[in-house]
Amino acid sequence: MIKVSNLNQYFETGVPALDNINFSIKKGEFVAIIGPSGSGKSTLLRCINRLVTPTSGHIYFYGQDICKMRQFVLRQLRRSIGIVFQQFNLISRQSVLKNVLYGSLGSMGTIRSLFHLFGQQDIALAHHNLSLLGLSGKEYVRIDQLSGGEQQRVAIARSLMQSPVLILADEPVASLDPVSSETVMMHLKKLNQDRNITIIATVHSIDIVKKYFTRVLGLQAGRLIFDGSVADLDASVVQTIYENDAYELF
Amino acid sequence: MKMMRMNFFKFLNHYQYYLYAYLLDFFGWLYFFLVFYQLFYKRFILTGDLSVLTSQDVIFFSGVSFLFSSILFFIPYCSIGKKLFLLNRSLFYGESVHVFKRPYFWIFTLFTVITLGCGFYITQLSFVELFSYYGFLGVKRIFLALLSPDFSIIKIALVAVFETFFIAFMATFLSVPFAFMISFFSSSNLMRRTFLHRFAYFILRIFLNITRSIEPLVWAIIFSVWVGIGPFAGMLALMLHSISALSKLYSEQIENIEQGPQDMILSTGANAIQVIWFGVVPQILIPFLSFTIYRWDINLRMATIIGLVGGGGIGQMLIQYQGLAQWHRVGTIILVIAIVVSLMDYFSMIVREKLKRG
Repeated sequence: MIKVSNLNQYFETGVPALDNINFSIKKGEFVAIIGPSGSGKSTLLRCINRLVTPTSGHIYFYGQDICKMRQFVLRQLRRSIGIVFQQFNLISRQSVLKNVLYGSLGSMGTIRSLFHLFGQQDIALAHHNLSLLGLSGKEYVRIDQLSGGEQQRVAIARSLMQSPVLILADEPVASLDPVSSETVMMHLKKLNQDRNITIIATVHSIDIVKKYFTRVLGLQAGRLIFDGSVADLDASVVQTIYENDAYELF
Repeated sequence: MKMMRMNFFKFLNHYQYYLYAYLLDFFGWLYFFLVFYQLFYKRFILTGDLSVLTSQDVIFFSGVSFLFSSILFFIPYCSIGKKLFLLNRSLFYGESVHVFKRPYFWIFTLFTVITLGCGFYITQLSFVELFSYYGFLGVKRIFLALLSPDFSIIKIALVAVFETFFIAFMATFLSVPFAFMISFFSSSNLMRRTFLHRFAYFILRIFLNITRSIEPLVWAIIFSVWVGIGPFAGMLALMLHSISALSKLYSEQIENIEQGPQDMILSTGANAIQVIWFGVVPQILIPFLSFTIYRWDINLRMATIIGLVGGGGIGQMLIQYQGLAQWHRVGTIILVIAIVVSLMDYFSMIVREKLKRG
């Protein structure tokens, strides 16, 4: 489904953020990207729907090269990839329902969207998605009155509006308390199992990785140094991945 | 290779600051000598009248200050420029030396003293005039008149202040759509993608800076020649100034928005217009409203001033009665202006406070 080959991304200073990354992901996999802060996890994730344009290399999505896409084709692609951010990135002064409906912006005409003329189907789907994530009854609450866990579930509901084949999650539980993180991870796991949606998430808690994920990519200083199933992720591997960070601590 | 080039620029930069420091010293001394010669030497020592400064004088003193600053530049701690650009090395004097023992401090004091003296002379500051008997008589007469307003013209004054109010309102209202459009094109975070973006940004910024640095009073004079004396000219003047001032405030607000919601909208496959409408506009709407109300408040105050040069409204009425020296009526007008402006000030403050919270 996704094949990344020789992917490089440099900062303006010339320091590599991603250094020659190669891997491929099959449909329905539940992949965690782990690594110390600044190792390029988020950059890698953002390259996949090209919020960040890589310096060189290829990302194939069903055989199409994402890095060479024109703007128009790219927008088509983004419609089928949902994304969930650490900081939720919702519009905080507006209602839950509106925020969820924004997920369908890509498939709407520009003029209609500017006047908030969402289709009946979209509205029904939004209600359905919200109830799926246990948020029914909160449709008309303003976002800034929700807790962090609820906001993240709204963000997942929004990404479901795109009927995604792939969901990218950039630290989805990093700013949540343990109970909310469990709920959010449960929902992601359920989506992965019930709908066969591929999920790629950056995570920094090894416990969560072991509990939910099936496959792990380990990044260190922009290089992919581990690629395997969760079963292979033992203490020595974790230590290798976080090695540099540990040095910095002492 | 890259390393070497960086070092070379570093080297250049370093010496560039020596040039700046020297130029600062040179012009500082030139200023000192010219002021001293013109205002003190000619006045107190030659005791002649102050003739115009000739170009020969300027050339002569340029030479003198060139010599002076050149010599002092190479004596440690005698150059203000070197101090300002941090080029002094603690060779003879450590930084622990008391400030009174550093020569540049005394040079700076000298410059300050001569500037103050120059200021006193040029503004013709005189305590004799301020506390003279006839001066007090005059001020007593005018204050008594102002404090006993003539209410026979209150109806005309109220109509005129209404006119001023609507000049301010229309100037604000009509400037908002222009400023709103311009602000997106003049905010650096949205306009750095291609060369064309940056070029348009640069041109717009220059245009805004020019219109903003010319006072509305001057615009009013220009427009009163263009469209004739009256409220329309005043409105146009205020509108032009409001457009540039609001664009600046708006675009600064746009530069401070969060990237996150934009990324979110972008990742749903939305196009550029949708990103701005859903990712940018909701973040800036409340601050924009707040700025606009504040600008309306400012415009009301400016509209009175603009009336003085023919912009219509209460200001125009004020200058007419002032010209006729009818101080009782001027008192009425001042009273009306003060009430309306302070009311507007109060309400705009309340609304802005509410917006900040809501």
